[in-house]
Order: sequence, then C-alpha cells, then structure tokens
Amino acid sequence: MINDDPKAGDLVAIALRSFREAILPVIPAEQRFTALMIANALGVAERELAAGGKADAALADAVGKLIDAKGDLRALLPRLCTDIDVGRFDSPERQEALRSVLKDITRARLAVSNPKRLAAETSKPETPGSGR
Amino acid sequence: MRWAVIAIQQANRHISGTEPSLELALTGRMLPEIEMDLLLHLDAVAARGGFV
Repeated sequence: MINDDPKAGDLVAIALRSFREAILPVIPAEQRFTALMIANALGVAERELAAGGKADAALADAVGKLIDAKGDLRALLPRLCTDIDVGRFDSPERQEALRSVLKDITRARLAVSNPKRLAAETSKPETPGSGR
Repeated sequence: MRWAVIAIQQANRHISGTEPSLELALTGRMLPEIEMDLLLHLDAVAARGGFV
C-alpha cells in the first residue's frame, strides 16, 4: 500500500470522536439505540486495533505452562479445551490454576470489549480462596 | 452459562452471514463479561469447598 497513514486505528478513533461529538447529539430519539450501538462497535474496534494482540504472548506462555506445551494462543487454546475435557483439571488445585489463567485471558478480552467492567472488576477485592 | 451460549449463538447468526446485524454482532462481544461472572462464581463455589 502506498499511503497507509493515518493507520486504521487512527481512522476509527477520529470517526468515533466525530460521531460522538457531531452526530450523536442530534440523532432523533428513535435512532438513538442504533447510534449508541454504532459508537460502541467503533469503540471496541478502536481498542482492538490499539491492543494489537500485545497480551497474546504472555497469555500463551501462561496457557503453555498449564498444559506443558508451547505455541501461540490460537494453537494452545483448543489443546487446553481438550485437556479440560479429558479431566486433567479436575483436582481442586488444578482447577484453581486453570481459573487463574482463564481470568487473565478474560481480563484481556474485557479490556477490549468493556473496559468499564474491567475497571470495576480490578477495583473489587478478590473472592477469598480465588488464588489471585 | 445459558446466557453465554445464547451470546455465542446470536453472534454466529451475524458471523455466518445469515442475519447481518450490529446488535447480534455486539452481543458476541458481551461474552467476556458473562465469562468473568462465571469464573467469579466458580471461585466462590471453590471457596465454599466445591460442588459437594
């Protein structure tokens, strides 16, 4: 591509800002729900582009340690599912280790899909016995 | 768990192309919230001694 600036993330970010500032305030009430969904979708896309899979390597490392394997996250997750299916995480200790990694993965996804929920999540004290 | 399955099914209706819809697509992105609720619930169950 000859000209790829501004990047996709920048374009989505300015599109979202323009939409919020110029369009949302004048949207008729009957279209407001759709308009808010558009703003939400653009926000998710903006955060996903900004994140760029930066958390994946650390998460792949954590999953790899759980199942004693190496690889990228996309390759390791189906193997983790298989290990769960065959009962390799049935003991309480293994379940606790599994939940800890699953929460890390879920937090990374919440950072993209719903950062407000993630902020509420991280500000709460952990459940006793959760191992984190 | 039921809500998570419903969210996956609704997202798939969009992803498959059978029913392109912003609402269905965004429902798929609600999965992490549901999954976090599920994991916290499992933490609480474990803290009470498990499913016994």
